[in-house]
This record gives sequence, structure tokens and C-alpha cells, in this order.
Amino acid sequence: MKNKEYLREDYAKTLKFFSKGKDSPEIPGNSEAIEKYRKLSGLKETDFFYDAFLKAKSTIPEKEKKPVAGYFCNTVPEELLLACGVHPVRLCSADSHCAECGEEAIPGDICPMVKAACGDFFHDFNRMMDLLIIPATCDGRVKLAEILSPVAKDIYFIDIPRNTDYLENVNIWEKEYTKFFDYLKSKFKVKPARREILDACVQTNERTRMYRKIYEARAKKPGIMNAFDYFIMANSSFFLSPAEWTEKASLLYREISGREQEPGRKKILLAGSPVVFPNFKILDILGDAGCCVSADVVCSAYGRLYDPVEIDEETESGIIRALSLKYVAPSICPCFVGIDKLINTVLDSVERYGLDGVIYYNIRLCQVFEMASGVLRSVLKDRDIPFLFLKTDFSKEDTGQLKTRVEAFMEMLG
Amino acid sequence: MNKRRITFLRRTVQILCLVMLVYGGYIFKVKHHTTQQANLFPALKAPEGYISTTKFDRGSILWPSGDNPVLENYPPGLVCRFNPRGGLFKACIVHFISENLTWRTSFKYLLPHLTLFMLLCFLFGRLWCRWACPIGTVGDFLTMLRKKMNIPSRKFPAGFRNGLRSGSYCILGTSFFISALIGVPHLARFQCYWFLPYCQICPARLICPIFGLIKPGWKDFETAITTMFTILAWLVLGIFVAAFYWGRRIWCHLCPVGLMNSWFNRGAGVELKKISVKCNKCGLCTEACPMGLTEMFEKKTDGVFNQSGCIMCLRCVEICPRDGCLSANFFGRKIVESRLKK
Repeated sequence: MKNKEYLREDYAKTLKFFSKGKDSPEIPGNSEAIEKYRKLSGLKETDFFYDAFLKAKSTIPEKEKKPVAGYFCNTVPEELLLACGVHPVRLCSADSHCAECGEEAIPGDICPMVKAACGDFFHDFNRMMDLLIIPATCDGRVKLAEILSPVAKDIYFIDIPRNTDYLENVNIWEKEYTKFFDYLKSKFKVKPARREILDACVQTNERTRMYRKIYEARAKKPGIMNAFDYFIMANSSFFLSPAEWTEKASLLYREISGREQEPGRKKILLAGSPVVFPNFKILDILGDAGCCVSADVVCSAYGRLYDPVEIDEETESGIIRALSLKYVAPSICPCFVGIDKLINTVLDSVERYGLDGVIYYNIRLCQVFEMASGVLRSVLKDRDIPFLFLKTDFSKEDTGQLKTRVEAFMEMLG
Repeated sequence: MNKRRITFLRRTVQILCLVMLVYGGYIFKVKHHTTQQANLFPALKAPEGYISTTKFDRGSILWPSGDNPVLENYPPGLVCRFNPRGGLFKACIVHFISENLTWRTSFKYLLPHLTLFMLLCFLFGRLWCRWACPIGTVGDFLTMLRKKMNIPSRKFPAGFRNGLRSGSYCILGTSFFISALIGVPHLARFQCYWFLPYCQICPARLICPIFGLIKPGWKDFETAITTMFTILAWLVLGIFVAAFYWGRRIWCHLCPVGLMNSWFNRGAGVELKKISVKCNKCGLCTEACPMGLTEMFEKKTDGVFNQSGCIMCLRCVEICPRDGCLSANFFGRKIVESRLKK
């Protein structure tokens, strides 16, 4: 035991040594990127979301005056955190600079999202966080929890069985979430009533409703809001409180619903790996090639915000079950069993919004996403829906080549 | 929290049905006494010599059909003969068949009543169980009580539900067998105690009299057989209360009346449809199903969902957050479809 403790301390020192000189509140390059996308946007109300990104996460603790809990992945129930008076922040990062920092702790051919998440954690803000929550959804996250445990103040690990086709698992998800809730209660010394969880659910449901309005408006009228604005808006829900996000998004919705659609644009569905700021490389390429990303099935926007919490029975157990049915069961991540959800969603979106093709974006080194793409390709081929598979990472080297492929795809669409 | 329109409508209908079925006898009493033509079909009467035993006095729990009902017909759902003043209708279908098996009534007299029952079932399937059955409404109050007390509901595996259905067949079969047996003239002396065997153990026997504040047959311990039936009735009532308190509508898998309705569930006018491409497999339909059916979740093809266990409460349609994934249809015409709650 002593030996183990020594190793942990030693390891923490090593990590700090590696990250020396990289403790800056601002991640370099982000403000330039924000200004670049802000110029492309023709909307007034998006300013708030860009500003939120500019100030980034460093201002959250002063602004919210609450304990802050960071989490990775989409399967952590925000409502439970909100009910406990904790401000949830999703830490999923896709920063190439952070990925470089993370390389020192996690060398080798590992998913760049995991590296970036690790590197991001070296920044001051993240270590200030009271709690880090990591669900066991993919292998990268599981190891990340162990690597970050000496650095983080406190870490909580949620174990989630991954078979979403088997409904007996709801009982296990419920048990895990209940355990997590009990942990939160004891850590932050609060005893939230049922009413408070329900209020938190109302907040996130309001957010879902507003998001769906924007999603459908964009899908039906291509060009009223460009993809950068859309993903900035969706990604800012990572760290904004649901109430604030809904308020600003409703202003944005009012602005875009008055706009006219741009005729003659090819409408594309973007599926696959999460698109997280500042890694808008794929959006840059698609934008340059002149295609309009009018709908998406990625976990940083659609997967996070599209489904509401529907509570059947307003008992505490019923609420927690409903949360697991919002977060885990409909998850489109290929880490979970049940690829038919992804296929259904893609087919339904293409049919409902009359989309012209599907582009599947895969961050290099995520095997499950790549495996899922094969199934999706064959299904779409049967239905004569054009499909393009793009595999890339955070670096800019292959931009030209990808652009050529996208342009060829657009030509094929006609 | 969310607007639950279907639930609101269903509760209203349930309470209206409860009031009408239980107190309909009081409300329409005048009309009944003035116009005997209120009946849709001629009521079936016991033949001479069959019900002549002293046990069937007025006021006895075995008094056939209690006091005068308004309509001597037998709709689907547990419309109980133990209602005060007979209620609006005479009794449930299990009562009707048991009674006539004992009386050995000719089939041509049964036909209009059976046709009415089958027609109503053909139109609405098991919808009666959730929207009209007064005993179910009473049970739903128990479920509401549990929710108020923050106690989670129990989930039961598919094997258990199938077991209950088999049990239901056994109860129904035994009940009809005994009824037919005591109809044999040589065994007529057993009629006074073995008449309507299911009705004597049905939970409605103990519940329905409460509504009328009349003397119920709660303590019928005169002879060995009535004592046995009374004890059985109390046991069944205990199961009923426990089932509704913890298991939502798990009781309805055991109910013989519901079983008879369920035979007409497939191909009934009201049907649920699923468009599986719109489904995101969140499992809310299964979570919300009071009968605990998982087939709606497991269904991977488009089309009609007809399960004999489905009681058409439309809760799954109401809770489904995907626009247009589930819908309820009446003879192919869409009545309501799922969407995100406003």
C-alpha cells in the first residue's frame, strides 16, 4: 500500500514536470479561431456564444459561485449535478495544442480526443475543479481516469454496462446513477428533494425543446445558420448552465427563423465522431467545398441535446431510471451495442429533411467508429444514398487531399 | 411537469365510467322502472327449478345480478354484479357465461349478448380494461398512492407475466367447468354453494359493495364451502392490492375477464403502430407500460403492434419523445401520434 502511494505521488510530480510552462489560462490559437468564425457568421445573437468561448472556462467558478464538476462523455446525468447545486462542465476537448501536451502522459497511437482531454487537464482551471466524473464508456476514458487520478482533486468513476439492446440493464444503470447521486449528496453535503431533480429536468428539457426547434429550422431551410455557428452554439452547452443557454438560444432562434433559405445548396448529414471546438477542421473542409451541413448525428450536438428526460413515475427511482433512458439507452456512440439506433437516425433524418448525402467523419484511431461506418455504408448503399467516409486527425496535413475528395463527392451529388 | 393529455383524458374517462357503472343504477333508476325497453336484448332469466334453493334470497351475496340493473347486458371489462343496485350493466362476461352454463340456456338466446360483447371487443380490444374497468380504476388509486409515497414500482420478467396468463386460463377453465358441472340436473343441489365460482373469489366481490354502503358478503362463514370461498376471496383481494400497489397493472395478466377481452385484441379496431426507423431505442415505452410489455421496444420492423397483454392505455404513445414514431390508429385512421412534449 505504501509503495503504491509513493508511486502515485511520484507520478503526479512527473506529470507536473511535463506540463511545466503549459499552465496558461488561455489555450493559444483559440481566440484567433473564434474571431475567424465570428466573421463568417451573419448573425447577431451568436456573439454571446462566441464570447462565452473566448472567456472559456476560466471564468466559470467566479460566475456561477457554485462548486464545479467536470465530466467526460455524454452519459453523465447533468440533472443530478444541477440538483446538488453543482455546475456541470463537459470537458471533452479536441484541441491540437492540448493533444500535444497530452502526448507526454499518453504516448503512442491513442485517440487524439483522449490525449487532448489529458492535455487540457494540465491547465489551471481543470485542476481547480472539485470533482472529475468519468464514465466507463470507451477504453480511452477508462484509462484516462487512472492517468488523471493523481492530478485531479477528486475523481468519480461511473460504470455503465454497454448493451443498450437489453433492457434489464436499466436496473444496473439505475443502480450506478443512484450510487453516483448518493456520492454527490455526501460529497457536497446537500440533500436535494425530489422537486429539485424535477426542476433540473425541466431546465434540461427546455434546452432540448429549444435545440430541437433550431435543429429542425436548420434542416428544413439550409443556409439560415452556418455549421460553425451551430456547433459553437451546441458546444457552448458544455459549460453554460441550461437556463442561460436556453435563454440565449431562443433569441438566436427568433433571429434565424426570420431568415430565408439559400437556394441550390446541397444538404449533407454529418455523422460519426464528435465535432468539438476548436477542431472544426471537417467543417472548414465541407464549407470550402460548398456543402451545407444541415443536420448532424454526432454526440457533441445531436446526441447531447436532442433527447429529453421523460419521467414516467415521479418517484426518485423513476426519475433516475428516466435519466438513464435519456443518457445511456438512446446513445448513438458505437461503443454501445445497438448500431440500429445510428442507422435508424441517419435514415430517418435523410428521409425527413430530404438530405442529399451522408458524410461520416471519423477521428483517426477510434476503431469502433470506423467499424460502424462499414455497416452504415452498406445500409446506405442499398437505399442509394450517397455516402462519404472521411478519416482524419487534428493535424492540418491532409486538408488538401480531403478537400479534393469532398469536392468530388459534391460533384457526384450534382 | 409535461402536459400529459392522454393521461388526463384517460383519468377523466375512468372516473366517469366508475361513477356510471357503480352508481348508474341510482342515476337511471326512474327511467328503468318506467321503460322496460331500456334493454338492448331480452334479459336471460333462470329457468324454473334451477334457482330454487333458499340461499338465493334478496340481499344475499349470491342474489343473481343484485338489484335491478339499468341494462341487462354484458359489456367487456369488469362490470360487476356486486355493484349496488346492479349498476348500469348487469355483470361481466365471465358471470354471464358461468351463469348460463349452469342454467343450460339455449345458444340462440346467448347469441345477441355474445355478439354485443364481441362487437365491443372488436371495436376497442382490451381498451376497456384500462379506460372503463371500475376495478382497475380502484387499483390505479393504489398505484397513485405508491407514487405519492415515493416507492418504486416492481418490474416483472416475461416468464412471470406468461405464468400469470396461464394461471388466468386455469381460473377461467375451472370456473366454467364447475359451472357446467352443477348445471347437470342430478347435481343441482350443489348449486346453492357452487354457483358462479369465479364471482365468489373475485376481488370485486369485496370491493364493489363498499360503493353502495350495503351489507357486503365479507364475513360469509356459514358453511364450509362459503367459508372456503370467503377466505379465497380475501386472499385474492390481498393479491389484488399487492399487485396494484407494487406492480401497476400486473394484475390484469391474471384477470379472467381481461383474458376474454384479450382474445379479440389482435385485429381490434384500436391498434398501435410503430415506425421503427424513427425509434431511438430509449426504452421509454417499456418503462412506461403498466403491463410491463417489452415487445414494443424489441420490435424492429414497422407495423401494427398487437399483443394480447396490451390494454391500449396509450401511455407509450404519450411518453415517446420521437415525433411520429408511435401512433394509435382506429381502423387505419390515425388518432394520436407521439411527439416531444411542449
